[in-house]
Amino acid sequence: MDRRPQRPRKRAAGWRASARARVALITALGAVVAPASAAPVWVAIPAGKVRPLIRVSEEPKADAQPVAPFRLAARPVTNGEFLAFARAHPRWQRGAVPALLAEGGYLARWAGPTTPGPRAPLDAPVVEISWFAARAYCEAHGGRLPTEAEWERAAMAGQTHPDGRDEPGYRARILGWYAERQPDPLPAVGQGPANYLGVFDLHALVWEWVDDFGATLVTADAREAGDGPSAAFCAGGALAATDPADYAAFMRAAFRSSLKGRHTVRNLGFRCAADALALASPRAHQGGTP
Amino acid sequence: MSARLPFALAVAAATLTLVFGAGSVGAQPCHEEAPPAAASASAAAPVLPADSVYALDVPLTDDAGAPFRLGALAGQPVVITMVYGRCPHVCPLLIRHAMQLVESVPAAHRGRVKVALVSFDPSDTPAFLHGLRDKHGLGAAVHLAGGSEAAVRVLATALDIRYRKLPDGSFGHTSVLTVLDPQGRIVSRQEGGAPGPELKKALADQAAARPGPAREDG
Repeated sequence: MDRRPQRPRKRAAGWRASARARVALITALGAVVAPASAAPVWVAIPAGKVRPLIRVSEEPKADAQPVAPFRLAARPVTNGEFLAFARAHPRWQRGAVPALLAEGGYLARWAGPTTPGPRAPLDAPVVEISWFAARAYCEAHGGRLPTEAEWERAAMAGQTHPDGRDEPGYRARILGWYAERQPDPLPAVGQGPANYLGVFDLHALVWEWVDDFGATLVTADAREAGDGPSAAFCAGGALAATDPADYAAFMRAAFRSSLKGRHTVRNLGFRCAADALALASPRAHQGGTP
Repeated sequence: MSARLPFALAVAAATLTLVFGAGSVGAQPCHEEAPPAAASASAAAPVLPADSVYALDVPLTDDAGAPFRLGALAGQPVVITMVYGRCPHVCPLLIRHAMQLVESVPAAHRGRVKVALVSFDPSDTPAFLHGLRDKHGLGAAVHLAGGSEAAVRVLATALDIRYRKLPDGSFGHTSVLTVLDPQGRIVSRQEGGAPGPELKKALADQAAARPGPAREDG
């Protein structure tokens, strides 16, 4: 009882420490596990809410989309991991995949169908992968692709804050990465600082597939193709935007909307997600938001 | 845009159909096993070209509650589109456009054309879909089916149809009519609006290119 005033501070410090410990653990696990097995290292993502990019109703708060707890791979899938998959599933090797499921650029930078080669280091994120191939990979590893809402929910976290919008420099950092020229070959995954949740590379290295990639800008009553949400683009502005300052989110949505499932892009990779494990008290594991 | 490319595609597809069509309906010249009876029922049948939509792993359930594979439609041209059952305005229009497309085929070949209406709403039950059949007076040539979230997502992505569930339970989606050749390859598609001349021509060409003698569907 007499220690009560200290509690909030202690707790806050505890959370920070546990977040760091979690990151360290994940890093260690990744280092030990990744070369031997391609099993994803999962990070438990607590329930949250994401704001839709385009306002659906008059009351923006009512639009906030709840995201159930789920697991997200700590890092994007690497060339080495995809190589193991392609060896085990030859139908996903370059040259074997039908054009319906992947266009001609599929794994184009690899030296051969089962040889990543110098332009695709084993520890770098795999790119030039179609949605169908990414999905097949995740299914083979007991997961799935994250939904757009799940991805955005995890990517919303800053480095030190559960919500990056509260963190100085969060948006500038993301846009800074978008403005950078992509190094070739790409560097290894998991090198940068993890975000508050313990997830690496969400705003670095590569863009990532989500399961429902094409639908962000689709709204109800799109009677004709391309009708779209007129208010979103009216006068070149963003009248229906929930947060017009969130350019980065608009860029992601625009990019995703431009994709087709068979597309392969040289800065587009993926990571897997999975449903949350059924835990007795999931809250005990998660740093709750104040 | 140029009408030539789709036409060339249609001609190429028709030619391929003539060349390979016989193989698709029973004889298995290139494959050792695969019983002919199963060829049209199984989506994994080796007679299908790799680019066939029928080669996708998309288990569906039809409006009678029976398991349904799109591969069951192999052997004739197909008009395929995706809708959802509770759709108030757009989907009835889309269904009407699909039927207009079929009716645009000269009567002599119209009977060959099948229609597949697949729901992207996993909560559409077979009974609900059957209600749509009655409501729109859809005949036996029209197959109504639905599937799991994963199954319909794969099909929609292959057909480049975009949809999103909105907070009120309705769906935002693009309206796309697609013509498949008898082996399930996409030969023409149109986003939005009443079927245009290119789409109509593609379907008419497919319907006219009759591969070999008539056969009974299994």
